[in-house]
Amino acid sequence: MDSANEKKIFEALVDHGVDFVVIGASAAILQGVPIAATMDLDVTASTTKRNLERLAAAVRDLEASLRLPDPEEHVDMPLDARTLETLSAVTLMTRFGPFDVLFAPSGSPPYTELRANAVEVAPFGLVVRVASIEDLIAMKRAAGREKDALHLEVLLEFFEETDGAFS
Amino acid sequence: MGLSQRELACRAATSQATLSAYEAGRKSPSLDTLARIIRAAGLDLRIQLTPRDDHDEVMAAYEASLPERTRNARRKRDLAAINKARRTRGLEPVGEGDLVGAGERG
Repeated sequence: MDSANEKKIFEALVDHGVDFVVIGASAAILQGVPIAATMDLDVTASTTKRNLERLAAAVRDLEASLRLPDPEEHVDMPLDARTLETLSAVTLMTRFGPFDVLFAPSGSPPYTELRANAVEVAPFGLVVRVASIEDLIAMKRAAGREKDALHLEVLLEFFEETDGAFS
Repeated sequence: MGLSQRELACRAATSQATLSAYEAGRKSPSLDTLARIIRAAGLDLRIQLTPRDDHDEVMAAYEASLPERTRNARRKRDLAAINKARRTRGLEPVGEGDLVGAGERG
């Protein structure tokens, strides 16, 4: 994802006080892991009622709609806190590009633990939490796809290179 | 759990040698045996079926459809972000050849 667009999405989340942690390729890149970015920004978030309300407000500001595999397909669905509560993941298209919220990413520890392990970075003058390298490794291991195996290799190398100093 | 391998083996009605082989990855327990060992440790095994998360594949297919020029520009931008983070952490910068995307390592 374009960093200017990524910044806009982070800004909306931070402005609304959303409790979230960046996961996926963006989380790795923001820590210096040489992985090519994906088109979308992946985050996970706390599922408390209050946080889902904040997330819904941020999503509204981002003018997000559901992103479906077939771009021609369209589902009109309210993206409010009550709807978000029923979903384990939501893939969105915002004014600033694709944005995904995974409430229970495979291989991730429970949110409170993931958040406690997370590392704070300030890529655009905004402080955001990114999943620790160890948790990213656990998530990649759980995904078990070919692409994830390649990324896993790079994450393990980074972990070794830094002696786990940033986790 | 605070259980020794011997104690757990005894509780799960199996041998310590078998448990040791499972731990070392030399053997794999059947699902029934695994559930029995986990029960013996005072835990329950729960397996949950969830819909497959394929959003990454959808994005990867879209990415692959982008013109080469766009993909190269994206790689340059990624590299800049990565090296900025590495500088902050006192790590050596990486070059384009170090950047790993899907299917780039043999």
